[in-house]
Amino acid sequence: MAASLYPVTVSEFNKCVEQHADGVYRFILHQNRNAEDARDIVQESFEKMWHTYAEVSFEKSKSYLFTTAYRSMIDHIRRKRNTEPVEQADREGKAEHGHYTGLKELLRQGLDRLPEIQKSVVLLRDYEGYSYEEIGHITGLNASQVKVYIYRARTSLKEYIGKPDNVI
Amino acid sequence: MGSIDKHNYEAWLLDYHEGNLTAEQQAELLLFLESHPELKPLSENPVSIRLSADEKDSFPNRADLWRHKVTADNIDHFLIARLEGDLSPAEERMVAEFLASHPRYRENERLIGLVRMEPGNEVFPGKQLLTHPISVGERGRKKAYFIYAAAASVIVLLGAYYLFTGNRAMQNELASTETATESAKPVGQVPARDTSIADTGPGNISEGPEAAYPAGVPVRTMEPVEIPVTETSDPESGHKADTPDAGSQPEEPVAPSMESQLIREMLAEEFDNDPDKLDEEQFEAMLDRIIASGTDSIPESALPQPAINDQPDVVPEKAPTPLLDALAWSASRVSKQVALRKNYNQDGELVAYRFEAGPLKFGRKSK
Repeated sequence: MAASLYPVTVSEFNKCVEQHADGVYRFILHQNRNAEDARDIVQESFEKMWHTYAEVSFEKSKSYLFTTAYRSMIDHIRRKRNTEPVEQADREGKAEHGHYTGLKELLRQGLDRLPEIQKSVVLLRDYEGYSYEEIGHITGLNASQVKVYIYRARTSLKEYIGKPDNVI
Repeated sequence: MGSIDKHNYEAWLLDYHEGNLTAEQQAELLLFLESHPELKPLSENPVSIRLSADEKDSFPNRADLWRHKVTADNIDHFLIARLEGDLSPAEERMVAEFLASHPRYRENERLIGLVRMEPGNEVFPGKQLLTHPISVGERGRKKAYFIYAAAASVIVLLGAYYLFTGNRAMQNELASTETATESAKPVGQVPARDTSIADTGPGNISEGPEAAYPAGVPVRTMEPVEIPVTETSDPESGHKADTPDAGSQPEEPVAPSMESQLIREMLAEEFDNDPDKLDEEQFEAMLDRIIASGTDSIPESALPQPAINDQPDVVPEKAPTPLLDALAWSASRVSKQVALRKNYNQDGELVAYRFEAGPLKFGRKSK
């Protein structure tokens, strides 16, 4: 990575913590549903940025943080899969009809059933409002792939909800 | 490619039909086929080894793939694209028309409108642990910048004040610091005093603390006064030279900057003359002559002449350095390491000056 002309200063780093720590934390937390792991990943991401501050400008810091956190999360998931028995979640099916719940909870359940990559692109799109290109930069995909994954994720979520009547 | 044999003749035939063989290889292939007549039909019918597409085979739902047409099969894709903001105005209209003509797909529209995730209100709990204290260096730099800016502002404001008010303010300030202690200065041999004339302008003057005056001339010594601008004699060059000013000798600031003024006052009192009407340069020249003569009395010729400018409130400006005067005076309010040194010739003309502010020194010769 080419060195930036304007590396992050200490005060800018602290500003990044104030502005982006919550966003990165939510992104990771809603991906893996483990608050402790999310805390570790966020802390690790900021530590990496601190140690490579000479290569990161303040303007690029948010993208750097999300990219680093995403990669750390993928590594974390892989390590966990190798060390822990995989819980085969039922990724198919719809919400039980007649079991009325809030939209947020329903979407959270539907999100948990999505493949990791679809979950990531949807969260980055909806939580942070990133463009297809920016999401591609974070996840290592091209814009077309991001678009396809977002479409598949939305279709899956729509299928999961089933009917608007299932939502309170 | 090696020589042709029974194991590779098919590859040779394929290359032959695709035109990849050289003339020698073609001749070798023909010789091989003549020696193996059972393979000759294969070489004469190349169509048999080529596949041809059946033009009758076509995708039946090609129309459904067209993006310019909204159908029941792709309405969800259009609705998601609309949710993402990817549709053109024309496509938006097509979707709206389709939904108007197919009301049962309104449910799809409502469902897809729901599948946008809303960020929660979770807060990262260890935010304070992530922040790094601002280093002393960075904080110090910022503080230093602030101090420099503040000092520069003060200097500029003081300088502007001085410029607009003239040296009256300085004189008033000096007058307010005078104490009435009077004591006779020891009378001694007159040293070879510098011929240059001390500046009594805004920067004031300072002369050596051991400066002596002719016997009989009563001298009042004053309490030390901070003086920003100094000038003294250089014994070797004969010109005025720099001496430590108030900043370099903070414990013993020399007071004789007031002496000439006091002498002037005393002389004026003695001769019943208004000191404000005296021309300073003439007075200094007179004083030099008195000192040089070594006499106790003041010759008549040495008496000061009334100044041309007899307006008491108007101070004649003799040095063409008003900006430097103002700068030195105002900077001396901030730092004692500031001095403006001036050298005058016997005619009272400014011949050289030097402005010093700590390590910064610059100056020029007027002539």
